Amino acid sequence: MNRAAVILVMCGSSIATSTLAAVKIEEEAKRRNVSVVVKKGKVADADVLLQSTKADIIVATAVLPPRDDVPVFNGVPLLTGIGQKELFDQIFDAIAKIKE
Amino acid sequence: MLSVLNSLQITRFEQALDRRELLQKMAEIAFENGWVKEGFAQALLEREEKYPTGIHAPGSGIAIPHADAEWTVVPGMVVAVLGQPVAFEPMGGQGGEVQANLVFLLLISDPDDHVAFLSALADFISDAEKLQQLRQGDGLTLLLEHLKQAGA
Repeated sequence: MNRAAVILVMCGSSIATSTLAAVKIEEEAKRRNVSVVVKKGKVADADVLLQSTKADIIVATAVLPPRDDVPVFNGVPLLTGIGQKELFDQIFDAIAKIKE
Repeated sequence: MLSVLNSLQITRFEQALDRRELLQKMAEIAFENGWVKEGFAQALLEREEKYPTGIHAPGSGIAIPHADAEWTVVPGMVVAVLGQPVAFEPMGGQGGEVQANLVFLLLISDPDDHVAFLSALADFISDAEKLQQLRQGDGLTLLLEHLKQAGA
């Protein structure tokens, strides 16, 4: 895959927590020198957003049922810092696998 | 763009409250200040039931309730410091019930306008010591300083 990985970040209202999570992921991607495109939205719109953004992975701060089509990660650690490093490792491992 | 810092209020609640009572009181503060539209309280309560906002933060239980952007008239924040913890369901379904000591009611109109504020808040809630200081009083100055330094 040559294009940047698309990460879809979702929360209940697409106001606060997805914005926070998106900023943190963008910062980490810069640190790791990985090009990503981060899109935001509401979990209620997951199906439509997945189609329109062609996202490779999902990071959600609200409950989202696991999906067969793309990996889903719980983004709450990005808000508190607790478990954040592990989550970043999982996210960027998943992206690396997609890029292979 | 209006800074969230111009409309920031911190209130201490000593009495025992349940989640609905607390959110109702915080929504009233926001409404009386003219920061939200009529009907906000209901929208806030409904959203919290559907998408809970309790967070197990370092050393403290917190919650960051909010409603959709359309309800916000003036971007701001109402903070509740709780003498007796209030139970919130965990955000993202992780980690069991949160006994919240601090509740940050976020009033956001356009998230892209408030990225600095939101990131500063995330840093704040990741800091056990700052959360503890906010709980113990003189919190307003501390919180304001932190948010200002972060360019919120």
